[in-house]
Amino acid sequence: MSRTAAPPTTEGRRRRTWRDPGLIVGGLIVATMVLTALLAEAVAPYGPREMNFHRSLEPPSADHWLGTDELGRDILSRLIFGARASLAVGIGSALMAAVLGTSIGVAAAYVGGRLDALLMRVMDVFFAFPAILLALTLVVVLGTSQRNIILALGIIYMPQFARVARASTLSVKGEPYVEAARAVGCRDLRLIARHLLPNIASPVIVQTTVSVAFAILAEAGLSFVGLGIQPPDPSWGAMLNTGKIYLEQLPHLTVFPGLFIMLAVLGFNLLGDGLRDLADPQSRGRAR
Amino acid sequence: MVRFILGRVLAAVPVLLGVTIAVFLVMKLMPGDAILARLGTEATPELIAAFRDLYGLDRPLPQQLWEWLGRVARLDFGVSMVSKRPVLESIMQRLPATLELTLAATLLALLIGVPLGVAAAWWKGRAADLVARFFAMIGQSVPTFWLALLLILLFALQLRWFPATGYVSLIDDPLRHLRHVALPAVTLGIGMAAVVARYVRASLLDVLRRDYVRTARGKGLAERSVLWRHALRNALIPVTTVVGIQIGTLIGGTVIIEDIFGWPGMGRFALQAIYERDYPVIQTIVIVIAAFYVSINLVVDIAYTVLDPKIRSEGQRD
Amino acid sequence: MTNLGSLFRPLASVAFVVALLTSGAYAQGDPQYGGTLRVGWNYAGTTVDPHKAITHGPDSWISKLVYNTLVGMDQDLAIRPELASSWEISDDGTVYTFELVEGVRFHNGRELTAEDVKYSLERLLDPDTGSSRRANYTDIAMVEAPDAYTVVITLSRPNAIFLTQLAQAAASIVAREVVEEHGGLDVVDGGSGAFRLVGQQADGSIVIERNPDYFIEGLPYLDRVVFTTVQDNQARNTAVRTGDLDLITHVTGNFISLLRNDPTVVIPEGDGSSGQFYALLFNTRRAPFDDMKVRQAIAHALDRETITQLALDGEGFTLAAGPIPPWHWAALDPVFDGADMEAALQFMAESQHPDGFSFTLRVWSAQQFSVRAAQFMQQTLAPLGIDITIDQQGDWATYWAAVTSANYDATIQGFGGNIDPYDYTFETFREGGARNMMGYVNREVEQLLSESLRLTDRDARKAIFDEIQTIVVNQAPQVYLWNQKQTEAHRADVRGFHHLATLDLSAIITTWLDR
Repeated sequence: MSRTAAPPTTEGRRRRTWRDPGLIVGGLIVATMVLTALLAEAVAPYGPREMNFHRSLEPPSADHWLGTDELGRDILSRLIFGARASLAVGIGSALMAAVLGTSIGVAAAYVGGRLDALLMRVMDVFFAFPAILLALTLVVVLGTSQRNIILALGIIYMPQFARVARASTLSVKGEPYVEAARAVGCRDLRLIARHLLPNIASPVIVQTTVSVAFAILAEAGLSFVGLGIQPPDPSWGAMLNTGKIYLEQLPHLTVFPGLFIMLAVLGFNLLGDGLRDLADPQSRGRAR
Repeated sequence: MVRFILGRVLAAVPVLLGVTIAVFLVMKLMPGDAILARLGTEATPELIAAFRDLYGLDRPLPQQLWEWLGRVARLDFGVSMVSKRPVLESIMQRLPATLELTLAATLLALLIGVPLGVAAAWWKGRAADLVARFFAMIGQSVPTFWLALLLILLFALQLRWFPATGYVSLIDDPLRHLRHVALPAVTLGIGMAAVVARYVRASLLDVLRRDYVRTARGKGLAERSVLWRHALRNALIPVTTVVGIQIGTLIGGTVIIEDIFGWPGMGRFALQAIYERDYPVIQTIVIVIAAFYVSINLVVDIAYTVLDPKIRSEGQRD
Repeated sequence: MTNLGSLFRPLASVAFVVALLTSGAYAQGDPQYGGTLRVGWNYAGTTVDPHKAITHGPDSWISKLVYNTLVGMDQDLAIRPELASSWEISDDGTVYTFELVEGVRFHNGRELTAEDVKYSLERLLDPDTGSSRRANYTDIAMVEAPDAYTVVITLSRPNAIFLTQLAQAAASIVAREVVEEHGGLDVVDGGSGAFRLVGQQADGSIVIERNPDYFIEGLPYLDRVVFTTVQDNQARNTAVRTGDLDLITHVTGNFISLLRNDPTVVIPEGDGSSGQFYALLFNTRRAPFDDMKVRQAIAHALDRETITQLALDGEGFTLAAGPIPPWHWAALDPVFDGADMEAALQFMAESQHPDGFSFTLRVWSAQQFSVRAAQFMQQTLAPLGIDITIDQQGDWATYWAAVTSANYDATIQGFGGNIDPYDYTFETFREGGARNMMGYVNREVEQLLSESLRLTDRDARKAIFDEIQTIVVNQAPQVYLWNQKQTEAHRADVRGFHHLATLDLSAIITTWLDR
């Protein structure tokens, strides 16, 4: 559940190219996942809650490509619908963190001075909190609804956006055209909207993609310990949890959900890395 | 130098203070009937009143906060609502297990990650680089609790090489400790190794790029080896920052893994406390972990600055 | 009354020892002394005070090892001597005279006498002690200790199962001075049993050690026993397979066959039958479950056979009628045969909620079988217009506190330690009973229960319990689901352990390690 930004990518004379294999693969995985989640009803062979009690715990077969679970539900279908939950939480929390964090970061860098120092100290406090414990506690305190999970994760990933946005804003703030715009009396908000935001868009987008990856992992972890999505709604992490008691007898119950989680996270990570390389091949991202 | 260190230490204090206050506020969010849930059938009105009094829940918020801060300063973190034992004592008893696990995972991560990163940089652009980066990517993306289950299935249940649960202290019996810590350390170490490998690679390439320009006319293999060794030393310095952060994150992040492997550390204790709504324990563990995180960052910060004078002069810290 | 005590005493002690030892200890060679047995169970009790133990579980299991009772039960659930070497019952069944074994010592060194028995039973009956089992002993009118080794208990009415009740951990004999010095026995040892309580360790485990002065010569074999809580089923079952634990409890469902197939693990003989029943409990104090028609509708809509199969992977017996399992002599003939949706719809139509309603079904997440049953119910009851929200609670204490304080709509839970049909029914159906979370009140049933105690003829008692079960099945404060197979599992080098239908771990007294 690390919230650190990616390392500096110093690929030397890497060209700006869309042909980076990582970017393509990542993009494909993400696109497939999003499409599948959106079109779940059409793609999935069965409903996610459709129980067939006489066909429980079956290994993969022609009827059920990935087998059935302990209540006779089709695992493939549940994994497909689970993608919806994972994406909803992943994207929802990443967006929330992006909006909140970017606002704070931009405000801090733009206004500067005492506000900047104060806000960054507050972000430091957030950083010092152990992420998993904070997520677990928040969910337990607020309740285990999807909305609360998004809220909790959004809060946890916000500080990283604040730092990224702030750093970006600082570098743009000193640019001559910005100074010039201020000199001719351009109003602050307009300045921010027209000049600042487009320039900090790239690192924020990259950070968003990476945050989605972490959020998907986090949601799976929460569901794994029973504090995430509640039954009978499908969740990859919860499927891992209920399937693990058959670890030796029916390993497919454990293997497939975990595989899907890994693929999803991999996709977003690759995409994020690819986007970062694309946007700023020479950029030296912050080590934190 | 001393002023710098002092300055850093002083900067850390408000962060810890902030964490303490934030923890207090988060716990205040807890629903009112949590007390009832804890007391259950024994909840006579007198008992509830006594309970509220003990935990100071009737007094105004600022006063509660002040009392809380005062107690924290005295290192009085109260007693567990479940075991009725002093919280700090219970945590300190479990801390060594978490630290041992963190140490093992970190060592493993360095042992795997550093060579991997160096290799990737050495053979940059070639097959080995791609393979190394591919594995690093996988390592970063794999869910640790899934990996744990797979490792248990293969190494504990099928091959019976390692135990799946249980704990033996490093001090009591190093050999048996190694057997017990193996699987959990690998589970945690792989993710960290991936991050380390990527940073080592990037940092190394960065240093090489800068220094290479200076020694553009390298006089053959011998020169290149010297260049590499020099570069490696310089490149590893920023990596320590990352490793430090990773360790700090790891100490707070062993929760689920400790639970799966039955590792009696702070993380597992925290998870149980969260299930049981044992708020004094949850609060204190968060503060302890935050203290570790801040301290480690502090040490790494200072070490980094001491080791790399270029950074000091650039004044690039935010 | 003739006093043949002096003859019976040595004979009875020998019989006791023989009974204990032939229960399996010698089956695999000579027992060895020493060693530490590491036991794993799935939740921690809250007290080791025998008079306050709440559930038939870890609470009372420790008491059975640290304390003694007047009589005990052997593997076939027959009464055998323990602290009492012999006893006589008056013709009218109200006066029990016990002769105690001489030379039994409490762990603090003092000899256990009749005065201690008197004190202990009175403490159990004292409302201030707060024993949840107290109601099982209220037939005791008077306890006397005419001499140091004779106890006379007078009942207000005859009670057919009184001796069985005396064999429960709740009727343990405790040392008065320990109670008075420590204000209770929650964390200290006031017993005389085969093991001494060392205490709770920092990591939450409970440790007991061998009592070298145990009144039965040669027992126990083990030096120490350590009880650890491993809530997660997968982790606990894996631990016994890899040898991290020597013995585990609560082995159910698919784990029974899994462990059976593991050559390094032994599942004790027997089909794992347990005196336990699982049911869907309704909070009859709250709408909509204050409406009997609603409860009856649900009772008819559920296919218990399939639920049992799904929840336990087949390792259980369906309860198609009342709480008493089909293999028990007092079992009621099956009433329900699969799901009868027509009848269910009919009941719903006649109820106050003909269009359906919604409620929250609470389950404890460690009981995966309950989680599955809950999801099954959610699906099957939907056509009736019933919308269920499943609330999965991670912590036993929080979950149970909510249920016992009537803060729930419905829940799925099991109750064990039952031997006599009275055990299955008394605390469940009497007003304010320790297992009556439903808030059920039925005077007729209470009357029948009381009558059942006065009869000794098995057929007559069965007739009464048939009547009781028919009433409660009809009124449905609970819908009975399954009687699960639950057993223990241990390493192959753990000897002398056997499974008891009461699920307690008294067999640890005769357990030894072949290492």
